[in-house]
Amino acid sequence: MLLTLSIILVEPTSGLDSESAYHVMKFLDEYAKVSGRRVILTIHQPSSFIWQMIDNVVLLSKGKLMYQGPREEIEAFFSKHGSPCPPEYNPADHYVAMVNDEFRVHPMSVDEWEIAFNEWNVENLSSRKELELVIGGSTDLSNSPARRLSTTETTALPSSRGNSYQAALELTRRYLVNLYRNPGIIGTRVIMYAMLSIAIGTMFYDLGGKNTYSSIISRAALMFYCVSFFVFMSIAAVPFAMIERGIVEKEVRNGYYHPAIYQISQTIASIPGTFLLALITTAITLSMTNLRAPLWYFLNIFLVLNCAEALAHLVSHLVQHFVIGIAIIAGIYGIFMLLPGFILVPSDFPGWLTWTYNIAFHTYSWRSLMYNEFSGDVVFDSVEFPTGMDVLKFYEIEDVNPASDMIVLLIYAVIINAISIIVLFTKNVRHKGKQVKTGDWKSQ
Amino acid sequence: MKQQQDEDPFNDNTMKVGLGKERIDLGLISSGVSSKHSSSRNGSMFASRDMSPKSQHSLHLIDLSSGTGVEGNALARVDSVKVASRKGNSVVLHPMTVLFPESKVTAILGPSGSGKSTLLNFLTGTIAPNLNAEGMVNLTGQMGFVPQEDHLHGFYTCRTYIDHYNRLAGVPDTFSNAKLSTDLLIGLGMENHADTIVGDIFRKGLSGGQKRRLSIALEALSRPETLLLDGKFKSVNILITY
Repeated sequence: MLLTLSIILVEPTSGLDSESAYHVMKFLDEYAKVSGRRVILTIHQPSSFIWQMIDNVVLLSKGKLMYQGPREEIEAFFSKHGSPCPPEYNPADHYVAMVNDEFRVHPMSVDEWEIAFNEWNVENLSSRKELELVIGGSTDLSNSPARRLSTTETTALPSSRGNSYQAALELTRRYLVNLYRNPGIIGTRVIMYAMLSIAIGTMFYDLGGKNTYSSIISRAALMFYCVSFFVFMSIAAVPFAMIERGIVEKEVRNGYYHPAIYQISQTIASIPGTFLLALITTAITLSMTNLRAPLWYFLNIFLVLNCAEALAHLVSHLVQHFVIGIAIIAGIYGIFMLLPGFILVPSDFPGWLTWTYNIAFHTYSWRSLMYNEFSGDVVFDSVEFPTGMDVLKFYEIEDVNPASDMIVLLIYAVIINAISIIVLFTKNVRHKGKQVKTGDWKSQ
Repeated sequence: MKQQQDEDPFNDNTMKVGLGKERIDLGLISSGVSSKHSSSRNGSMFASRDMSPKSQHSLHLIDLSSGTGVEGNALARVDSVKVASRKGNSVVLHPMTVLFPESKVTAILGPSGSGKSTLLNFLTGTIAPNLNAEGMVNLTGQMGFVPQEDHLHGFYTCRTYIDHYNRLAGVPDTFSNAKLSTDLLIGLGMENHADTIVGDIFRKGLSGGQKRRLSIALEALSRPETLLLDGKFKSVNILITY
């Protein structure tokens, strides 16, 4: 017990907390009383001070109802059953302790308290109808006063929820501000992408000006590296998407908007970020390496980053913790990096796995980058690959149409976002459904 | 022993291990200090609130809405809440019918693991995926649920956050609504932090308690018929420090 005391004494800030707790209670009391609304809260251990500000008590133990009713009457109930609150005790602590039978030191068990409270109800509930409601939990409610409860009077001060359009607009706005103000979302990534681009530019400096055999190999590897790692680094979006999810779940629960609205807003708002990242990498990488077709390169990286962003969002809807999300995305990208046809050309894929070539969005991005670099009148000082077309033939991508591949990337991102919306829809429906019927009692 | 204190220093675990006397001693100390301090604080706080010109602001909440309200009790009839996939002791909530009267602050109390949060989730219709719930809820009107953890964006200040929520909830941009926003900040003692950012891992901002109060203000802003708060007072030493 000495331990307890010493811990208490080294907690100087608790005083502040309890003062603000008092103010919050005062505010809540005003909110409930003044506007004819209700406040429901769970409290672990109210101080005796805060206890005085509670109107109505619902006391639970082991999932059973021990008492419900006015705070003023709970003492009478406990006194009747031989457990009055000693004058020097905090009443809330006393009652909570009395119904806690895990330690088996109190006169009555949880089951006994439950029976006692039912008897108490019969004796004390003045309104016959109220009694029926509370005691006869399974009675037919269609003839009960609950029917009356379903008719809500319109309030002069109605609560407010916006329409979907308003919410979508405001959410998009919030994500854009977040993008700008939260260095974790885009700031650190801008630095990461810029540094990686400079590293690439330095290693492959003026690669575009060379026409040796090794420069061909370097080009193919560079394209692969760009696609793989610019995509991979979008993993940094996951932790922030998860933080966002907590906020969104709260807001969805409170009916501010449908989760699909949030996915749409998040998609729109992530576009400036991917645009900026694609611009930075294109500007740095292509100006240093002198590779061809910078506009195609930019468009390609921009679209593939949108796919990556969409996948990060989708995974963040599905997992419980961002660490798992990161692991899953790393795993997906590990597999996707095997598939674009650079490490293994498509015809060398095991027969039953040829379809996997089309799975990864990396494939469309990499082969288009390759096509734009090697197509046309490009000649090399090499026996194996005298022209660019020979390189494309080697990788079996000589018939690629970059424009249609860009459309594929666009559709890929749209599909991932659509799956996100479906996931959010089903999650929402499942949450809301869950056998708890709400609202109009007449229809039950 | 130490772990137990973290959760429930005043629970009866001390009596279980035969330290009943000490427990009573501690109870005396704590509530002795408690009543003395609370009464003096109480008095001064009311005085200061009444004297300050700001306290008049909070009255606008009254003016705007007097004489209105949702009629009757909200009601939750739990038939059962069970852990979906477990045999044995899997019941989280037993059958019960709970009334939540209007114009009242209702506190759900109980030892750890007694089902407080589950009952609150039952009310809001947000049952965890691993639970099966059956029953009915009659909770008319809009609800504002303040979860245990404050899920907030770090970059907003209290004032800009309130503006954001007003827009999100479609609160009309009227003078009285603007007034209510200010009154909310004052009512929750946040007027001095109106331009402080919430803060995140990069920047320092509001303290934990201030974030809590901001969370409440944000939900109260759109005036839901029912305001629900989960685990609002975490500080276990709240009793002793008075």
